[in-house]
Parts: sequence; structure tokens; C-alpha cells
Amino acid sequence: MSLHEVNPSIKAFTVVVSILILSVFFDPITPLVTILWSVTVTFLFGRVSFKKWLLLFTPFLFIAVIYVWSTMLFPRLQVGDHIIWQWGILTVTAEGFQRGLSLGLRVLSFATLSIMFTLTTKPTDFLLSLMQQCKLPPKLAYGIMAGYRFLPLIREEFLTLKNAHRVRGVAGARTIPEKIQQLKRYVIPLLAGAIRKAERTALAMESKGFTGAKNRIFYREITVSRIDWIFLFLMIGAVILSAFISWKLGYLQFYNGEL
Amino acid sequence: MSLFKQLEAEGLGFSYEERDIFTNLTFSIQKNQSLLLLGPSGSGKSTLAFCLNKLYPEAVDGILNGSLLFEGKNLDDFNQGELNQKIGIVFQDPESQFCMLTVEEEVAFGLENFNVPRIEMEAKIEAALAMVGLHDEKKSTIHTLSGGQKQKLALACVLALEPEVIILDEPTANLDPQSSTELAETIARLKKERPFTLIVIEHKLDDWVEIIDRCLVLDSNGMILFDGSPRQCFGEFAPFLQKEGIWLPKVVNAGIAAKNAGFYKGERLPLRHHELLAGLENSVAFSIKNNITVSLGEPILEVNGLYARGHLKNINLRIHKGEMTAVVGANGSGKTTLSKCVSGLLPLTQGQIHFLGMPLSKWKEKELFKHLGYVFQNPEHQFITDCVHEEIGFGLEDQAAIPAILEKMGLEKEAAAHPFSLSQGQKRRLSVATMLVHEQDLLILDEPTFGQDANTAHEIMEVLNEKEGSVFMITHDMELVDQYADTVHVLDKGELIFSGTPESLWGNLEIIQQARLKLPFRKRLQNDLVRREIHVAT
Repeated sequence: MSLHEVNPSIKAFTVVVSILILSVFFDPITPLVTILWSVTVTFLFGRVSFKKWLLLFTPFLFIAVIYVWSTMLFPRLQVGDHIIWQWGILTVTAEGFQRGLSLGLRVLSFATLSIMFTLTTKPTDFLLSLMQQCKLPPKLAYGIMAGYRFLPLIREEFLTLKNAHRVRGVAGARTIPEKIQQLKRYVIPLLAGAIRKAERTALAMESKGFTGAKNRIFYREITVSRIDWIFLFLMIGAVILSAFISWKLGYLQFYNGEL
Repeated sequence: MSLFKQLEAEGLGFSYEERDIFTNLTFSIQKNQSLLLLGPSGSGKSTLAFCLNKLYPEAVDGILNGSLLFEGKNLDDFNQGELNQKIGIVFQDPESQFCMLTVEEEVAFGLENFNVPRIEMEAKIEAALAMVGLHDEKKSTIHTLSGGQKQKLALACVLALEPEVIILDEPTANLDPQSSTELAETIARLKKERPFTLIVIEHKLDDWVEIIDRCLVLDSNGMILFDGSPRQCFGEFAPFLQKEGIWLPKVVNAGIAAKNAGFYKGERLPLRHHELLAGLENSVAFSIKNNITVSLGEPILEVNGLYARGHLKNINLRIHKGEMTAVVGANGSGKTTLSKCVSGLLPLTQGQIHFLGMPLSKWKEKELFKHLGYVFQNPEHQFITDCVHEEIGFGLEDQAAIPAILEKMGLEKEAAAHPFSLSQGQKRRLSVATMLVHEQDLLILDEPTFGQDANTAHEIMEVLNEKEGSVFMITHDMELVDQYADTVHVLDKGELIFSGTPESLWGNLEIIQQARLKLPFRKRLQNDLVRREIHVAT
């Protein structure tokens, strides 16, 4: 079984439900167990390159560390908190530490689940599945697909534009009015180019008989099988199990507007 | 051929944003006819083509007047999308006509739109890809294909729907010479295998002359200038077409030139190669290029051991003072990358470039671009002000030079206009003018004649030819190389495989094959003449 073969819509649904369940709790153990589980699943069944995974994960890790630090060092002091360490205005309490950790791990648990989805799902497959299983209107879906193809083209166009202006001797803008002027110079041709390309693609799609009609026969059928449901229940089951473990260890708390 | 009228237009007119694109067109197209639609740029050829399969006026807020019938039925009576199965179209730009990621998905996209049962799709996709010779690329992603392959894919998408009419809207505009010829040959073969009505809009006509059996010519006001056989069109009407700036087949151009020079004794102007040959007297004199060998000045730019972008490999070349240099090669061979390196816009991975005796990297950018100009492929990219006059005057010390250059480029009347509001030809002339006015030592141009009508292309090349400094231009047009270049560099897969005079390149058929080039018309003619002489002699 491979994560790539799981129906994209069900995969997305699973991730969303898991995140919703996780957000009900606020303790360090539930997200920690979920993180361990989802990372294991990603690498065991996803054939994901570790480098790619790390590239996506690092920014979240960074955010999480900042969260932990700030909540830990500047806690909301309540009567009865256990002070672990104090230095000037900095006070670290056991409760504050736990809150910070819960928050950081929570961010990371959302991240690992989302990365699992992103790295094992092709955008085209996801859109095809959304059309076939979730009845997303083809007009919207194919529009997104065409737009997705455009992104690198627009980047390229921007670079060319920058070069073209360099050759004309337009020096890099320094002051704010200069920057606004420069932005104006970039925006018009970029927009003109993007609109023209979009029009051409739209025309080309229409010329192949695309009307946006809802009943389409798809060349590539994206199916739902037993495996997909097994995946759904295993993942959600794992999240609930995490909460259960946390409860057994005595950490489980419901989210109560802590931050 | 049956004389059944498949498409009938009566009093057809189209206006868009209160401007008439074309007016009062009356014509009909018979089943399985091959029609060539000609006209200067901006005459509404593409617009007309889009009206014929009902893409317009829905896609733009235009107004269509008159009546248009397909197989006797008014176009308005067809359901949305219905007509697109019967009339297919291949567009000019290979990049923006696909919406899927892989080849098979793209072909399937059209079939899905017409609800072809899934079990039949596979076979239809395979058949369509086989027809254009893309069978091995079925699973490839589209962006890995070459320009020529992309246009073949676009054709396959159309063929899969088994249409009755196929419209080609400048399908070879972005292709290298050999890919262009291949596409025309593919169409010719397909037409023999399974007849269909063909409507072609093209600039490069020589590959298509054999296929077409009728010409419809629009003038710059969007009215019918001529409707009839190709022979009549390019024979009697050739001078009118020339005046309108419409590209003619090279055989016809050569015929006219030969007639004016008194070499051509045929009764009517030639349309095919052998007719020209038959009509030519004193043939040798005609085909020899009166080329004064230019003695090259000292080198102003030297490239040594250049590697860049992981694509260009070990490039060594010189650009001399006053030299007109052309860079040629197939799509993706590294021409644009090289020209960007030479102008300091792209960093080198290895090697050196010296410009006017100083390493390029040592130049201050502002100083560099006073001595070196670059005209980008899309003129709009270079416009930075709100009016034509300011555009030319930007960064110019001597503002008094503006009127002269405006006049030289035929832009006097547009001095106050916004650069973006100009026509395609005017935009191109303006972008060249903004560079020319600075009288740089070296001017680099990325396909200066791309998408231009014959007159504009000719004017631009004349201006460049007269210019004092050196010129370094990328082109696909072998005629330009033959006519204007002193030196030609051939790139193939990032390597410089030839540097020398055009004449010596034409003698090296191996290089021409490898780089997907073609001999220019003059050279082909010369070869044929020599062959004839030998034939006569034996």
C-alpha cells in the first residue's frame, strides 16, 4: 500500500478531521504521539525523500520553537504556579513550560499531517478527485489547473522584465516614490502578459469543446476503495488513541482559550 | 472534390471596442478545400478564424454582423461547444494552449469534453499521437517537449476529435526551420490519408504552397483584397500583396527580383521551384550574392571558455567592430542564454567575457548599457514611460536626436501615444529605436523580426544593417542570415558547433542537419541550377 494511491479527497478529509480533533485538546502528549505516528506513516508508506520533507518541515519547526520560547519566558502568571527559574523579569513556571510545549507540538502536529498530504498527492490527481468525488465544478477545477501551470511562467516573465529594465538603464529604486514608480512599471506589462496568456489558454480550452458542463466522462478515473477507508479510520483512530494515551498519563486537557 | 459549401459567410463583420476589425466579408469555403488566409498583421486573420468556430464573439465583448453558416446551419443554432468538435484549431503560441500536465491527458481533455466513452479513449489517443509521430511521448509531461513537438501535440488534440475543418493559426511562428517544414509535411500527409478542410494562416509560405488550393487575402482595413487560386494570387496580384506588407513565397519574391533584373523569361511569375528554374536565363548571375567580403575590424567582445546555467558548454567566440553576427540553432539550443551572458544579464559558471578590453564583470552596469544594447523578444518588456516620445528620450543626453529617430522608424505620428497602445509592428520598431538612439557599440537582438509583417521586418533589418556598431542577433530565419550576416554562430544543445561566414555554413550540410537549420532559398536555387547545368552538360 502506498500513500500516493490513497484517494486524494479522502486523504484531504482525513487530514482536516485529524486537525479538528487535535485542536480540541491542549496538552503536549496528544500532538506528540500524533506527530510520531504521522511521520512514521509518511516515511513507511509515502516513499518521500527526507530532504524534501525537511525543507517543508523546517519553517514550521522554526515557528514552533519561537512559540515555545516566548510562552515559556513570558508566561501569564497565575496563583499557585510552580516557579522553576527566575532571573530579573524572566520567570519560567512549570505550567508555562507545559503550555509552550503544547502549543509548539500542536503546530508541528498540524504541519506533519499537512506535509504528509502535500508530498504524496499530485495536484492534478487532487483536482480530478475533487471533481469526481466532491462534485467540484469542472470550470473551477480546470481553471485552477491552468493557473497552476502559469505560476512558473509568471516568475520567468518577471525576471525577463527586470533584465529588460536594467538594460534601459533604470537603476534600482531606493526611495519610496521611486519604488512606487518601479512597481507601476512592472505591474502593467506583467498584468498585460498574464491576462493575454490566460485569455489564450481559455480560448484554447474552449476550442477543444470545454464548456464547463458537469457531467464529464473522465479519462483517468479516481476511485474510492476499501484501502481509502482503512486509511481514514487508521489515521483518525491514531489521533484518538493519542488523546487516550495522554489521558492515561494524566496530561489530557481540553483547549480552553489558553492563548 | 465535391463543391458543397461547408462554410458560408455573408456580409460578415466584426467589431471590438468600437473598432471594426473586418467588415462585409462574403466568401464560402468548400468541403476539403485548403485555404490560405493572408493579410498584413492586424488585418483580422486570427479574429476571422476564431469567428469561424464560434470562439468569438463569446470570448470577447465583440459584435459579429452578417451571417455565418456551417453546412447550411447558422452558427447561432449550434450549442455551446458543439461546433468545436467539427472545427479544430491549432494556435500560434505552443506554451499557452495546453491545460493539462501530460501528453495523454491533454489529448484526453478534448475527448472528455465530448463525453467519448472511456473504453474508446485509449485507442483514440494512441491513434492521434501516432498520426503526428508522438507515439513514444504518450506519458511525457508537456513542458519537456520541444516547440515543434508541442505544436504536433496541439494537432493531435485536434485530430483526436476527428474534425471536418482544421484551422492553423500561424502554427510555425515559434518553431525552428526544420520543425516548421516537418509540421507542414505532417499536414500534407494527413490530408492524403483522411481528407479535411484546411484553413492556414501563415507567414512562411514556401512549405505550404504545395498543399493549398485557394488564397483569401485581407487588406489592412479588414476587407477582402483577393479571393482565388494561389497561382493568380501570387502571380498577377503579387505586387499588391507586397505593397500591403504581406509575406510572399520566396519563389515568388525571387521571380519578381529576376524579372526586374531581366533574367526571368517565363510568361507568368513562378509559384514552384521548377517553374522558376525553367524561366531563368543567365541563371548563375542571378543566384550569386554580390557580397563584398567585409574585412572585420578589431574584436570588441571576446568570449573565452564560457560555461553557464549548466547548459552552455565551452563557448569561444569574437564579435568584431561593425560586424553583423547571427546566432542560429534549434529551439532550446541555448541562443537566448548565450545572448544574456554576453550582455551581462546572466552570471557565468566558468570562463570570461571581455567587452571593449575590460572583463564584463568589472563594468559598472550603467556604463555597460551605454555601450551595449539589448532588444528583448517581447517589446512590451522594455517600455518604461507613458509616451513614445519620452520612451525614446529616456536617459538620452541629446534630446534633439528624438525627431530624427522617430522619422527613421516611421513613428512620427505616434509620438504622443502610449507605447502599449501601438500596433505589434510599431511596438517592435519603438523597442529597436529606444536602443538605436544611444548608438551603442554592440546591439543584441532576440528575434528582431518575430511576428512582423514583411515591410516592418525589412525596414528593421535595413536600419540594423546601416547602423555603425556591431549587431548580435538571434534568429530562426535563414534568409536574414544569408542576406545580412557577416558571421554566423550555430548552437546545438548548448555547444557552439560552427562559427564562420554564412556561405561556408551553407556548404556544411552536416552542421545544418544537426542544428535543424535549412538552406536559404538562394542557396537551394543555386544548387538546383548547378545540378541543371551538370544535367545539360552530360
